[in-house]
Parts: sequence; C-alpha cells; structure tokens
Amino acid sequence: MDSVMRAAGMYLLLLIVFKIAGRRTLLEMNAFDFVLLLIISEATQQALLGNDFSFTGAALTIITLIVLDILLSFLKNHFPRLDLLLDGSPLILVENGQPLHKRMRKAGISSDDILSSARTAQGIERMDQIKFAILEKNGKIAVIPVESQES
Amino acid sequence: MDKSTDDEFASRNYPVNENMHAQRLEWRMQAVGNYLLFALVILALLGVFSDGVLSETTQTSPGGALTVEYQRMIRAQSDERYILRVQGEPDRPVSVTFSGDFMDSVDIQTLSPPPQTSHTSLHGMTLTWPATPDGRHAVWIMAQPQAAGYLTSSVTVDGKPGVTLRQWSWP
Repeated sequence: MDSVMRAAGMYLLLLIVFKIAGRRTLLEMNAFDFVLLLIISEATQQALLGNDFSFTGAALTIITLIVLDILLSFLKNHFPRLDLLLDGSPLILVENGQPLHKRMRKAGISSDDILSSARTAQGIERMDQIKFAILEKNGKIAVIPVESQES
Repeated sequence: MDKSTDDEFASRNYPVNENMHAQRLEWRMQAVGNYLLFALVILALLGVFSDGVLSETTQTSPGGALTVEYQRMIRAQSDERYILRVQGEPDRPVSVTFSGDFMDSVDIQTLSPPPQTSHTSLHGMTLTWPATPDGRHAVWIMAQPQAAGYLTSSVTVDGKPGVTLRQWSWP
C-alpha cells in the first residue's frame, strides 16, 4: 500500500508543481534546467522508494505511475474540460507580424524567444516575416511564415 | 493593424482554436501558485516542516529534574534528535521511562550513552544509567518516526512527573 500511495502522491505533487511553473520550463532546456531536472529526479527517487530495495517495490512504483498516466489520459479524452485544465490551449503570440505583447508577458516569453524559434525552424530574420507564432500545448513555439516571403 | 491591443485577451479561432478564458484562469492560478510555493519555502525555512525556530523546543518537567530538547514537527522515516538532560540525586543511578508513541511509533536508531539496564512494560521502556557524582546526566537519542500523524509520548525520571512530548509527524 505504501509504494502505491507514495507513487500517487509524488505524481500528483509533480503535476501540480510543474503546472504552476508553467510551460516556460519545457520551452528550452539550457544547461541549468538540465541540472535542475537531474536533481529533482534524484530527490524524487528517495521519497518514491525510501529504504525499499526489493524488486516488488520498484515494480509496484513503476506500475502505479504508468497506471496513473493511462488513467489520466483516459480521463482527459473523456472530459475535454480536464484536458483544458491540465494541458491548456494553444496561444497565439504573433498575429500577422504583430507581437501580442500582453500575452507574451503573461506567458513569460520574449520577442527574442519567438525570433529564436523562428530562426531555428524557418530561417526567419524579422518579426514581420512571421504570420503566426503559436505557443503550443507542449511548450514549443510553432512559427508560420508569411507566404510571399521571397521576392 | 486593425486589431487593437485590448482585444489581445479575446479568443482567436484561426489558425488554432484558443480558449482565452481557460488561459487567463491558468495564468491566475499560476500567479496564486507562485505565491503558494514561495510561502512554502518561507515556512520550511521557519521550521514548519521540522528543523527551524518554529519546530525546536525545550520542555522541563514540573520538578525541574528532566529537560527534553526536541522538535515539534518531525518527518516520518527521517532521523530526529532528542536530548535529555537529567538532574538526579548525586551518586544514585537514574531511571528514565519512555512511553506512548515514542515506543510504539518511533524507532530508536542510536542511544548514547548506553544504559546499564533496561526493562520494558507493555507500551513503555525504562532505562537506568549509572550514578554520577553530581547527579547530572545527559542522553542523546537519534530516533526515526515510522508513522505520520500526531504523536504523544511521555518521559519520566524516577517515577516523578515528567514531560509530555506532543509532536506532529509529516508523512
């Protein structure tokens, strides 16, 4: 019972904390984010398994986590509102070359972030070459260029 | 552009379906959540989750024979320290009795100095240490609570009224 409760508690805690931290954390991983992720997983590991070195303990923890994941995606499919709450909706950040500053500030994304994504994905140089920039649910910025870009 | 900035918080339907209502709710929840996380860190520094000014405490028994230094907030399955300072009679052995949750829900990891004799009752344990010239003794205990919740234990010296330890154990 203990392993299942621990796994479920930790799953819920991480879900809430990462939800509060926002999508910005997943946007791009710099060296520091990578280290942070390693430390978090190390801290989680201790609380998940404790002093239990048994095969059964590890198996129960893994299975509980997977079952929770399956359950959550099942619930998300059946209740769109839950999906909206947990995953959010995509957010348009640039519309026809115009950056939507209020949204960008709220989402914690700068023009530089958008231009960086635009450069990497599309080879775009300026904001006015962007038709749409969309912050996707997975935290990536999708960039759609203006069609008649080449002249 | 024909769109004014006031309309930034209105939902667009092209090229993706937005739900600005949910989005703004999410932002608001994140703002509240940030304060919550910040508050948790402050509380942790103060010792609400053990090891801090709010948690550390000292209790002395009515006669002054026993003083226990311990934590009000403890964490299950983590080592917690208890220090007992006893003022007994000179050149007489001293007996300390532990009972309540300290025996039932807490695992003693180390206890120094080792007692001369120990005997148990149904929910308690009495330890006896050899005499000292001035009757002063100190006992250091490292113990691990095995359960979460409210723990009440009592410690007495030589059968006199002792101290009652009330502790909250975090899971």
